[in-house]
This record gives sequence, structure tokens and C-alpha cells, in this order.
Amino acid sequence: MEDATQRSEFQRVLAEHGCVTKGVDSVEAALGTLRAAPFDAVITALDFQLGEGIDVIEWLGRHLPSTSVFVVSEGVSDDRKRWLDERKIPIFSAAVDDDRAESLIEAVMARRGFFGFGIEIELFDYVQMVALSGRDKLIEVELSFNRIASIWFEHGDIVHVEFGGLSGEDAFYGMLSEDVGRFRERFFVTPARRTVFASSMHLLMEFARRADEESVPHVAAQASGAGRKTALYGEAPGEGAEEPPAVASSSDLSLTEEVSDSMISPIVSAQESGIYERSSQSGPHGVAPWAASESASMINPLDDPETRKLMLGQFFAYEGVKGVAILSSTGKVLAEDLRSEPSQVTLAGFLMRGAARISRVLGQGVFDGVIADDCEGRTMLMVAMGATSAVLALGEDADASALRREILEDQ
Amino acid sequence: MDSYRALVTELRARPEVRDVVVSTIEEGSATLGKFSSCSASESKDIEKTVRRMFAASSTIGSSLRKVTMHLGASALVAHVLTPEVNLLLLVDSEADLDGLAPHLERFRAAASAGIQ
Repeated sequence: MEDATQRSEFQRVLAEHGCVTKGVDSVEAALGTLRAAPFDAVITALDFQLGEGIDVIEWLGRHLPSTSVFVVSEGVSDDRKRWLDERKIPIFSAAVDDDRAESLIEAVMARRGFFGFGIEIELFDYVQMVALSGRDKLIEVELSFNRIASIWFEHGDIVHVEFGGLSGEDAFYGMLSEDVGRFRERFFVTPARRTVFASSMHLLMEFARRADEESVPHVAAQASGAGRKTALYGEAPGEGAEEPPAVASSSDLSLTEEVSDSMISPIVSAQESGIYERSSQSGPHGVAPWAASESASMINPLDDPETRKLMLGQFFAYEGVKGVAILSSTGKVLAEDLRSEPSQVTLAGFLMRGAARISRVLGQGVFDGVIADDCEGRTMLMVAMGATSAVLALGEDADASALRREILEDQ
Repeated sequence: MDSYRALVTELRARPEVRDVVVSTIEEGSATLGKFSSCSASESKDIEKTVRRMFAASSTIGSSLRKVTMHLGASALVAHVLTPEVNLLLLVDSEADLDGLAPHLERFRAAASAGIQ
């Protein structure tokens, strides 16, 4: 902030709440300060005699996106307000009274956890980490030939991916199949559209399966040339290959349908049923972390229709149960007989992921069931059972709470 | 939000109720209070998650009116009061929720009055 009085007033209020601050009066000084030392949060005005506060924000977006930014300004134009809103950057009034100071302090102090950059890690593992963190994130991955892949996470769910002219799941698998690159976090901006609907874990496991089968649509297969090795997914391209393909072939695009089918298939994949194990001999660069256990491949009980029928049948034995589905911890349908309510299983997976997240935020650490009542008098009961969950569609007279207790006691 | 203040205080006084939050679309993710065990941003995260649950149910044509999440010793009960207003109650897991019905009706009335 250029105004020394205003700046010192903010510093005084923040210091009263235990914050250590450094005040600067120009964009240049701000960037110099930020380059020299890490800060949890930056509070900036928008207008300076030389440069604009937006320059500071854009610099942070490029270099330190996990640093919280707050704008202090009066009369922000609609265009700027929209720009700031898209980046979820709060705007505070320049006049610091007690109420405003309190909300600003609360926002600044909300930053928690650990921050860092410059780590070396496989992209597969990094994506998994972000998914498990349950955060809203926009990750940009810089790959050879100036290609950029962008991946949006909402609540840890991958909701949109763009890469090499592809979007959605094909783009995700193509991006993960790359060998070398650089990733960085960007200011989160809500994606313009949603192209991914499966859970993050499902996508990662599906990628691992395809990597094992060498069926990943390698977007870089014709482009990562210059001697770069693509050992896991086939031979390296010829020396003459220089330009990446702008758009995937139609055969690549058909993979979307395959994935959609796999999402609704009642047959569980070997990875999801837990019979795969972490390979001690991962692929080149550790890209393919899962490998099938030969002996285990014989013992997946849910591959057997009779076993699935028996598993579902044990829940139909409870009074008032009209439909049953068994879901994995990642929301995949392992077995299903919801009869007239097939769409409920999609909602059930969503509700259970939400409940698990809420449990974590509330610090409960335990999540053992959800009861959902709809406006038409129908009730759905979800009971967590270790690595799997049962989803039960109940009749109108069923007592969901009593039934939940009964099932838990029987387990 | 003022219309809910007295109702929230009343509900919080009940022994089986651990926390109460009212969330409205009108005020963004603002709430009347927050979960006492959470920061404001965590409370907002919870209500946003609940709002997404209700939105997801509408998307598949099975609009939910109530979701009860059992979290060990406690349960979070989320009620849709109106399409714009949700009531979130953190209660003892084995609480008799029927006893809270009169309170809920008054919340509903206050939310409906807000629409008019």
C-alpha cells in the first residue's frame, strides 16, 4: 500500500493479533520482498503510482500460488471484481474498523498446514496426494514441446482435465502417461465445464490398469521424440518426430466410452477389490505402481455372480429393504440390485464421499453411515463396512435408524 | 439471519444438540454462527459440501429433504428448509430426533417467511 498511514494501521491491527508483517509501498518492493522470504499472506492495494496490485497477484499466481492474497480497496470496478472473484480473492474495505479487522484477521489466520514447492515426485503419486487432501486445486503440468496439461480438483475430486486437444478422462490418462515434466499449482479458478465424473481413485486405478495393459492413449507417443524414452508405453518415436499432434485420433476418443462402461459395470476390477498389491518392481520411473498378484487373481469373490447374489441377498433379508448395492471405498459399484432405483447408487457414492469429508473436517475421524430422505418419501440407507459400504433402498415403512443399528450389530 | 437467532439459541440449549448452523444461498456461504469445533472456513466447507449433496440429488431427479450422517458419537443432520436455506444440526448419535420436530417446524416457518 502506498498510503503510509493506512499501511501502518493495517500493520498495527495485524500485530495486535500476533502477525509479523512487513510493509512496502510499491509493486517493485513487494515483489522484491516476496522473492526474499516466504509469507503466509499478502494484503495489497490495487492502485499504485507505478504498476498495479494486479501485477503482484499475477506474480504470486505464477510463483507462489499457495500464498493467500487479500485486496484492500474502495470502489473496485466490475471487471476487476469479476477477475478477483474468479480467483476467490477477497476484497476488504480500506477503512479498518473492529468488525472488518476481525474478518480480515480470521481470513488471514485461516491458512493452515504445510506449504512448499520444488519436490520431485511421480505425477501419479502427486495427483493421488492432492485427491486425498480433498482440496480445491488447479494444477498445471508443463510437458515437452511446450505442452501444458491442466487438471482441476474440487473437494479432491478431479472435475476437469485438458491436455493436447483432449479433455476429460482421455486427457487425464494421456497426461499421466508422460515421463517427464514440471507441475505447479495455480490460483484456483472454477473450471468452465466439468468433463470428469468418476472418483479420483477410480481414475488413478483405471490408469494403472491401462498402463499394465499398455492401452493408455499416449498423447506424446508421436511427439516426445528427440531420443526421449517412453519405455512403459511403447517404443520411443523416431528422431524426425517434432510436433505433437494437436488432436487425438478418433480411436483415442472412443476410450471415453470404455471408461463410462467400466464405471457402471457391476463387475469389480481386480485393483478395487484389493487383490492387487503395491509392486516392488514398478515400471520405468515408477509410473505403474500397481501390479497384479498372480495368486490373488484367482480369489476375487465378487467376480463370481453367485457370490454377488449371496452378498446382496443377506441385506434383502432385513425387513423393509427394497434394493441393495455394494460400493467400494472409492465409490465403485461392486454389486447391485437396486431394482427400480438404479440412479440412487450414483447419489449414494456422492453422499458417502461428502459425509467422509465432513467427518474429517469436524475432526470426528469416524463415519459409519448416512440416511438420506427424499421429498417423495423414499429413504436410502448407507452403512459403512470397512473397505466397502452397503447402500439400501428402503420401503416407506422402514425405520432407517433402527435398521442401521441392527446391521451394525450383526456385523 | 436475525429471524433465526432466537431459534438457534433455543435449539442449542437442548442437551442432545451439540451445534446448530443455518446456511443461506442469499448470503453466499455466510452462516449464522459456525461449528464451534471448526474455523469459519471449515464450517463453510461443510455447508458447501451439504449444499452439493442436495444439488446432486436434484440433478438425478430425487431431491433430498434431509440427510443424516452418522459420525461415531455424533450425527450431522442436514435439513432443507427452503431451496435457499439449510439447517445443519450436530446432535448426539442416538438422540431422539422426533423431539426436535417442533423446533424444526419453527425454522421452516421462519425460512418460508423469509421468502415472502
